[in-house]
Amino acid sequence: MLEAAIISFENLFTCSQGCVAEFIPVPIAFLLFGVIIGMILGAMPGLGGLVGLAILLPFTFDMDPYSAFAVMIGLTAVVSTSDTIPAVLFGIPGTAASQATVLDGHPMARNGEAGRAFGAAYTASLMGGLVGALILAVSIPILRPAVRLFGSPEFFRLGLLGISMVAVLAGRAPIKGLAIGALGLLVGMVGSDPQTGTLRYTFGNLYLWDGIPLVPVALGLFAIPEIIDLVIKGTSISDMPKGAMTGVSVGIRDAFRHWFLVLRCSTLGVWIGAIPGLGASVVDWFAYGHALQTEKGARDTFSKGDVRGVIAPESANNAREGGALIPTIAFGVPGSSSMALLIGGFMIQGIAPGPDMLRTPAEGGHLDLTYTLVWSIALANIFATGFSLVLTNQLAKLTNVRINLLAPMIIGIVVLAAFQASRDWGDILSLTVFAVLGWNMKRFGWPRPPLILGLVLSGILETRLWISQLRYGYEWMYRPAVIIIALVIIASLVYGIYTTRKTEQRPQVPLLTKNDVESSD
Amino acid sequence: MSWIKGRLGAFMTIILLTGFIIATVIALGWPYEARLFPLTISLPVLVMLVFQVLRDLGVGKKGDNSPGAVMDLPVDRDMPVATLLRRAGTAFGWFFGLILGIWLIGFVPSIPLFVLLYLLIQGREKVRVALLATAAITALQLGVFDRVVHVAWLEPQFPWIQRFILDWVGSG
Repeated sequence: MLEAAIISFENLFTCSQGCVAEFIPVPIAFLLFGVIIGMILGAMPGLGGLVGLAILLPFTFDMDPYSAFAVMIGLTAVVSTSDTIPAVLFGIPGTAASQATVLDGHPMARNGEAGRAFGAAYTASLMGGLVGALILAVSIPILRPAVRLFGSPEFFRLGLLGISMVAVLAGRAPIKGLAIGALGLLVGMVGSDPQTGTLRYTFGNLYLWDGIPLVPVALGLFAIPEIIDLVIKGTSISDMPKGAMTGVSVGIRDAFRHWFLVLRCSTLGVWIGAIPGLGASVVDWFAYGHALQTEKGARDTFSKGDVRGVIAPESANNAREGGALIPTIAFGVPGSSSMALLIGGFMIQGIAPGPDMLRTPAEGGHLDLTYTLVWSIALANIFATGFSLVLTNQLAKLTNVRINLLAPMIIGIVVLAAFQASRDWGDILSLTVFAVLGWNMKRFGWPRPPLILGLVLSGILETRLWISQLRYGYEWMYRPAVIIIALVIIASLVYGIYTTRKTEQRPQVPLLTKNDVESSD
Repeated sequence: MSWIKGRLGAFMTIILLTGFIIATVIALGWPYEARLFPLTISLPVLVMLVFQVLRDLGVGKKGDNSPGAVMDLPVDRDMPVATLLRRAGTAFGWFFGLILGIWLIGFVPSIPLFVLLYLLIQGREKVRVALLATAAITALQLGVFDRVVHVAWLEPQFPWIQRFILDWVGSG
């Protein structure tokens, strides 16, 4: 296996020599075009890479494969970089992958540390994107058999692993966390039951037959309550005077200082991305939960503006794109909804994703194209980080603009974004209901993240459990990967309980300052 | 009065408890395969929520309601409740007004109108600033969502204003 990985890594350069000649200069221009479009779409809540790819796809008919994939990969790879902008500035997740970034990114902006949050997020995104590309390059031959090992029982257990994160995200109020996680699971069950087709909690409403989409729920729970609270407060996003805003360079240093966290979360992101069906909506929560469990003093400082709470999800969500390409390339199975459209791009070019993508051109394959995809991810992330860093100081200044000027525009965009989910009156109603619920939850001290996690994982858990049970009986519980994931869940819960107890026993400490973080390293 | 004020936390718990009871009762009427998962989740949560209500009402061990007890964005609790409720009412009023506007006259005119009115009335901004912001949101809505993404706007109760604007920009 190690030998295969080394050969694959060597191929990245030897096979790419041919590609580089063709890659420059035209595909670089296409890549840049994709990056710019991707960054705009990422910063606009409700749009995201899927919309961008759907719009771009028809234009790829007349392109050569290298240009077509450069523009498409350029677009998808950087959406997770620019979706940090609304998450940090306004507490609005730009895409599903930046939900967890809100928890620490927005408090940082309110503390006058928007520049630092952006610096850390972009650097972590870059590092995550590069790790994702690298792992994709070296692991295709290794991961092919590994991904095949994942059946419904393993998916179910992974879903349970995600739900165990509720215990972590519940903080020191486990009953509230579990109840809200359960509410999320119930909301996820709205619609047609996968087994019998029974309509559950639909109340005769056609909109609810397909279930409640994630976007209006997430925007309702997080975006509207945050804007309402800022309007109530009546000040700008940050209370700090302009001079007190810390710079981007501190954030960049933060990301490098926490390189091991970046590496761990990036690897996690690649793995989650490589498993079809999990993807963007959970990867940031997995990474956030992991950081919360493993980082020193995280239980005291996370969700109050700890830079590590930004670094973890941002490195994971960019690395996910590399991971999502693994099943797409190796099996022709899309690792995410964006990858499903990318397969459409393959079809347009007359290329069938699968084993051919791992054979050299001499063997009649498209390995050169595979490595073009790898290089595209790496370059797109570098370009996106460069653009973002140039804009950061200007964006950070928005935190000092009075909220009454920003609020109506943000609310308008949020309503438009929520409407993109299924373009039905139900989206607007869902947004309204969850906005009222979210504001009350926030005010009465109920954690909102477990609801999102429950909603996302509900379908995976139920469907995969039934399939496992019907296909394997109780035998599915004895599969090696199922047992390993079960052990990880137990270890994670035991460690979580241990660290919570330890946190409860010691007096509360104030927020980590830059100096504290530096000294802890 | 102070007894009620100290136990306001129970309000949210009771609403959730009621929601879970309704969800459980509804699920009991479904076939076994359809009800198994909802009941597996809701029954233990019902027990937990009863404990939580008792805690919130001050019976038994007090729950941890300190700031930062839950993993979520921080809340400013320094504001007097009356001021908070008045301002929250105003803010939600504007939001509900937008939703009502969308239902009545449609997305296309409602969002720019909302921005303009909010900035002039609530924000007390200069007319020039309000018009500039309205132009920006209109350009975004019609330029990106209408012309590029081709959103099919919903038919409102009084559709003629929306139709007129869309015809005028050539996308009706």
